[in-house]
Amino acid sequence: MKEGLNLLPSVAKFQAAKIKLRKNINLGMGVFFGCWVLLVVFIFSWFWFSNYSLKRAESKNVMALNNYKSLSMNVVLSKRNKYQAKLVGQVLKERFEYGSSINKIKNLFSENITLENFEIKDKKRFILEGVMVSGVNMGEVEEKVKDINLGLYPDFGLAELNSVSIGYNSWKFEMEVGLI
Amino acid sequence: MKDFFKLPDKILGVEKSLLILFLPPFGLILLFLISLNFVLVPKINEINSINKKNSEVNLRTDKVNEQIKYLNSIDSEELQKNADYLDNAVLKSRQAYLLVGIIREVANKFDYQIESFSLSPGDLKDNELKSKASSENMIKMPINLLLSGPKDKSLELILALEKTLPILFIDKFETTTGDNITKLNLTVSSYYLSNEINMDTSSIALNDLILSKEESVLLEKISSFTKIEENQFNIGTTEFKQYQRENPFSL
Repeated sequence: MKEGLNLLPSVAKFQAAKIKLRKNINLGMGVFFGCWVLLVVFIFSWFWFSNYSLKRAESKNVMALNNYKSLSMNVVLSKRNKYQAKLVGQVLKERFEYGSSINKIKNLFSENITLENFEIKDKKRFILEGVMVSGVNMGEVEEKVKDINLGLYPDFGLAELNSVSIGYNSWKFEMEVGLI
Repeated sequence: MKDFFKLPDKILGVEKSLLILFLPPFGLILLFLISLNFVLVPKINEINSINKKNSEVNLRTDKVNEQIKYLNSIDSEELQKNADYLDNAVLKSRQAYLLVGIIREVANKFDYQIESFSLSPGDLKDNELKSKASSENMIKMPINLLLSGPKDKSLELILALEKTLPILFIDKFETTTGDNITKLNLTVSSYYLSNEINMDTSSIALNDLILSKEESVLLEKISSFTKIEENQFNIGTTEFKQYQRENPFSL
């Protein structure tokens, strides 16, 4: 046959071709059906495995939640602490600390100068009245005003000497210092 | 009638027997397509949704485990101590008398006395409105005070007031110094935190439990403050006593 010589009658040749074709079709159908069955098996196995994984994950989740519930006191306390710390932090951030500002002002002068009265206006300006026994110390006050205005004291803004008066036994001055 | 259903030997020039040969694979493909459409594809979709649910559950479990790990790592005593400090950082009761009591307690330590105090309802209302805008549950309570005491202890008093729990805010500060006495005209306020805190524990993330750096610094700061117990200033309740006198000014 391979040499191209075919002595069968045409009907028989057609029948033979048909039989061969049926055989091939059956083979193809078999392969196709096998693949189909495999696909079905694979999909159902995958479905079963996914379901199993989900059930396992859910049981793990339930276990974790039970464990978590046993720590509920700590959960509530931690959340409450966080919430309160946030609120307290917010208001404390806006607090102007007079103590530290007054401390800075008090440390500005030497012990020869006593601060008698002071007032903080709008949390921005210190108005202070100082007393000294001798006028010699007035030089120190003037020096401080100059240094503050030159920016040598980073905590203070501009300073201004408002008044100086001489009393019976003392010198008094009033000055204004801006706060940064 | 039988002839009506009888097929011709050739259909469109193709042998009938040849066409019949292709009927089974055609039927098989048709069945496959039907099963694909009605069984396999829905099953695949179902698997996808199961897998999605599975990963969601795993994610939730991981989050819960992370929180458990964190909660196990923290010291319960430390947590309780922090809670105490934060509870004491604000007023427990919305009473101006309580605030005066706290200030008096601090002032007494430095030999200062409260000469007078007043509560300005206008200020209170104004501050309440302002503070409510920033945080729902915080209510500011201001009082005006006139304190007098030794001149050399005024700074110590101010520093002590600023390091007191409940946290005190000096809103106005004026001082007048006499010979050895200093008079302090102060407006001091503190915050009252309403207990109505929304504690929804169903959707807590790990970040809702861990204190940030700023919050830890705040706790460290307030733990150095002096705690004044508010309970000792409680007025308490007394039973109503009825005096059946016709003239209330007679004994």
